[in-house]
Amino acid sequence: MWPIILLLIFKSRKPESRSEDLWMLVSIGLSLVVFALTWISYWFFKFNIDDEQKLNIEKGLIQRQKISIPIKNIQAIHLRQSWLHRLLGLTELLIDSPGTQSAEANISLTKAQAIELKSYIFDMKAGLGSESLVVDEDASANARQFREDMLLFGLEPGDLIKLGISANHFRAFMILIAFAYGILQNIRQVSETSYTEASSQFLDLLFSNTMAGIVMLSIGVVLISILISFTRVILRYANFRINRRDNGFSIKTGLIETKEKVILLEKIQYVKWSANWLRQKMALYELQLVAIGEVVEDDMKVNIPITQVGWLHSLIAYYGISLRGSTDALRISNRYLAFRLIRFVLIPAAICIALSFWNLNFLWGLGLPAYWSISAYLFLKKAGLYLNDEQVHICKGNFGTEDYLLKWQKIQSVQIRQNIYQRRHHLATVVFSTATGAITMPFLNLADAQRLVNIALFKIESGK
Amino acid sequence: MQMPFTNLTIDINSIPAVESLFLKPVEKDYKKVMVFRWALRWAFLFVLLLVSVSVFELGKKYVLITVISGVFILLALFDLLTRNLSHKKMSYAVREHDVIFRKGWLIQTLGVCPTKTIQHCKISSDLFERMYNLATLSLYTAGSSGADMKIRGLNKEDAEKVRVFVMNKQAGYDE
Repeated sequence: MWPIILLLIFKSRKPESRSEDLWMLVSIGLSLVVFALTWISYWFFKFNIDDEQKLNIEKGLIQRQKISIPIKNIQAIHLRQSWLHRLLGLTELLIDSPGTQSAEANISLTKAQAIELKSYIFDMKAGLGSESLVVDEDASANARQFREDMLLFGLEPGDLIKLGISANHFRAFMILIAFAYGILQNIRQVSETSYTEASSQFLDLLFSNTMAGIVMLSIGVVLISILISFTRVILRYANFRINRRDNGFSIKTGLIETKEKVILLEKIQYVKWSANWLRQKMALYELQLVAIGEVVEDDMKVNIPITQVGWLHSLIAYYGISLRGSTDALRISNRYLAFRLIRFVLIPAAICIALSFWNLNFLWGLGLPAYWSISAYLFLKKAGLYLNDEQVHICKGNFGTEDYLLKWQKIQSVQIRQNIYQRRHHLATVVFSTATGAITMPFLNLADAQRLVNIALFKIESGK
Repeated sequence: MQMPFTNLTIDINSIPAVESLFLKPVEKDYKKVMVFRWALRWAFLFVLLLVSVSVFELGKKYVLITVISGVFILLALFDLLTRNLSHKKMSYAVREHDVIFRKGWLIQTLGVCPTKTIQHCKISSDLFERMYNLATLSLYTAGSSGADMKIRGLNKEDAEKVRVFVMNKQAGYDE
């Protein structure tokens, strides 16, 4: 519907415009085609569970697809409800099996049907004696009571304000820019006249009012960016609560679009917690329990906001123990800085300076190499690796911090990588691959890297 | 009878070291396969270049044509050199508990895949590989969307032997 709405909003004031009539026809035609395609995909979508305990899905008219998932291979079932689903009383059931990066099946049902199907698969899988399944919680009263009883922690309004203030406002600024650009392009598609008017009004505002106008505009943009990031935090983390279950955690969060997620302890591959510069100062973190069977779609990922350090340690304790500062860390080589300076600072800076002879504005480009060099220096200072018998703790970050806690037993394969510079200086990057992604540690001394790989292999292969 | 629980300290120096291993080079014929692939890739790019010259009417811009051709030839030769050098580095080893593969020249990678974590493996060979009785062995672990390790340039018999070894080890872990 949005092409038609935009067309109506930005319609030219001229009484008759043939091009806009044409756009109106195209918009209506497009909307009809989308409606027809949606209806066809609904009509040809069929699923069943057969006698061989397989979930079979058939879909598509032109490109027919038949998907068959053995019930025993299903790793996770997630329920997702957007505001539109809630309005229509529907729920999306996402079914995930190993070996792929996204959900294999996405079935839209009424909420009652979705819960019934989820329970049916859960019972069938239990009957097959296969490993436990990641399922989202029921919304039933009993389940809710259970969650209330086992509440680990939730966020108070004060926590939300802290998270809102310390959010990544730069990201919100970029979203604002992208949004504004997108709107302008949409206006352009619908009406070239309105686009030209909007652009000229903006340029007038920017240049005609001199310095005061620019300052006012900048303050306005900054305030809107803060408001956007604040709103994102509220929408994402309002009503956040995490509960302890007998075999893991259940998480519920969101103001308008509620997300519910279950994370089983045995499925957690590694734990990651991070903070930007401001949050680091305020001791606020975002924690991820990275588990197998998670749908890798961004909108289904749930970070756990940590507003008290005690919560961080208590949650980490379910997986392992933070080793930061416990022993001497394995540090990365100072040559990391030299490499980054050559590759990302000197060469771009030389290009900027060379181009500045043509146009002085290219000197502004020097800001980027300056940022990269500070970032590389901070990374060098912060990067470190701690290990004990059970796990490896990798610390990273430049302006903020990033910590990874990984059990040796969760590693699937290891790699030592060396570029020409690293080979010349006996350095190496170590890559630990897990079932949910890889964790790298760059520019270790080669001997340390080899020792690390040998220990990892010994731990995995001996099971000790 | 239940085994008594022990928790002895492990001497780090006694752990088998990957770096001191002798790795077996892949088949020499694989270099020919790499050259065939190189020729195919650059023939395709050459055709694309000719089409671009024709579409953008660059035929009479001799300086530009000379520069583009020079860069094209340099890149093609650099690619050939890289392939040649990386073939020399390609080598592998199969140990009791893992499979090791080294590859690359610009960025050299030594990958180790413990047999315990391998979910399944696959042998494949394209047209050029079949001409020289060669195959690629792909090892898959849990959760990854692609193969964790691809050992190229094995002769078919060796690839099959490694596959059977890995699968037998896997069956042993399951029992």
